[in-house]
Amino acid sequence: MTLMALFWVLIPLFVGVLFIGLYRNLFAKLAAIFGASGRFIPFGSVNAAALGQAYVDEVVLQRRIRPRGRLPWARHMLISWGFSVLFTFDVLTAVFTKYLPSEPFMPGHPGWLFLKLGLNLSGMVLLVGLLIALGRAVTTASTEEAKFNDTPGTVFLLLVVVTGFIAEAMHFANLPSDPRRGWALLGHWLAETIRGGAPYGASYSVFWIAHALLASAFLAYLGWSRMIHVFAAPLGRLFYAQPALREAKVRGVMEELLRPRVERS
Amino acid sequence: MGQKGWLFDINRCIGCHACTVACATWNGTDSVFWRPVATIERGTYPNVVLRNLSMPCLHCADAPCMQACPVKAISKRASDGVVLVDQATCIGCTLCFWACPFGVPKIGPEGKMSKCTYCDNRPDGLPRACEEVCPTKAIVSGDLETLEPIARQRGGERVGGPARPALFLVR
Repeated sequence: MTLMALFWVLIPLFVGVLFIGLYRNLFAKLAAIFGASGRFIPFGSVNAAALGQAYVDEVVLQRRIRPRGRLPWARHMLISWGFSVLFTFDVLTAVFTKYLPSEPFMPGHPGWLFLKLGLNLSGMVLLVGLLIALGRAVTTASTEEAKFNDTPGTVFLLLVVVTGFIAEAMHFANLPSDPRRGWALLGHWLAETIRGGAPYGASYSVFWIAHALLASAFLAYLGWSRMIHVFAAPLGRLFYAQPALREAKVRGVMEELLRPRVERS
Repeated sequence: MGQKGWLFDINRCIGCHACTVACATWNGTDSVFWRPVATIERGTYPNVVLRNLSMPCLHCADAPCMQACPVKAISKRASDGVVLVDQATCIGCTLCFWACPFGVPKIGPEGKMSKCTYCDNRPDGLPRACEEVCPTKAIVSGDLETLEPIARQRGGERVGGPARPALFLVR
């Protein structure tokens, strides 16, 4: 089996593992929870304003991390937003250049340059966040704080990002120099730096496939590790930010427990 | 050692919240209360009755919070059945709160779940902080086997349900 054939087998496998992980570790649990306690929770009283506020606080600004300090908050914001925007641009790139190819998004055209800018900018934001996280992992290695670090997740994602930048730089370095690729920021800068060693035939393929496999494996990893918080935390916090639902759940239980014995029999 | 648990006597509770304060002070939980007191007003004037229930984690035998946690941050200590949360692993998703039949888990200012640890940092021989300060002895802690005769004597019973909470209630 060639490396490329293996790649096409492994990608859907990894995506499948992600969905199995999400089903087993999140959706099945949610179904059990709301199946058991749904009677206490009046979904009709969902407060839209509180929902909006929770979305801004938990997802957009991630305020609950702020009390831990500026650096942890900045690190989480960089990683979270870098990853989300990068993923979005990855999907857009696949759609506009592979599955629904259109002229403005072909190499060298404005749409393509825009995609490259988005990919590189978000990738750089993610890279900075991951380097801060790695720095923290190193500096707190022998302290009590170390248990709060997700070093395997950080290293895994860092490998995805670094192989991505290297693969892109090798790809650009294999082509004639073009100043318009300056929109590709770090990818372009790296390409110009390593241009002397071009062409990178086989090593480019290795890095590209390694990047694609690592990225897919990381998606699978999301459903089976602490990284599941990417899905679980915003979802749970949006519900938790509904005071009426919370109070209704607790109040129903308390009323039942506080009912005098005579009334119950 | 057997399963640790609680006995709570609703008829003795005067709603003074001393247990809430003692718990927060001993455990240093600041503004997060692991043992809040719920008050229900029943009846109509002039026949009004206030009933209070001080509600910590009930360290359920089949803790639903533990089953709901997507990252296995909640565990049950084999030696005494106390349900504990690993703060480092917790991702603050609140699924435990929704899974808990009593809505016990609390989310702290840092977004992590926290709840009663059965005062696991208390020196041996001392009662739980809440039990120690209760002026009417409405709270009693200990092994379920020890609590059962006291509950029977006071006319109480073990709270039922699939989670099998470690609580005897006198009402």
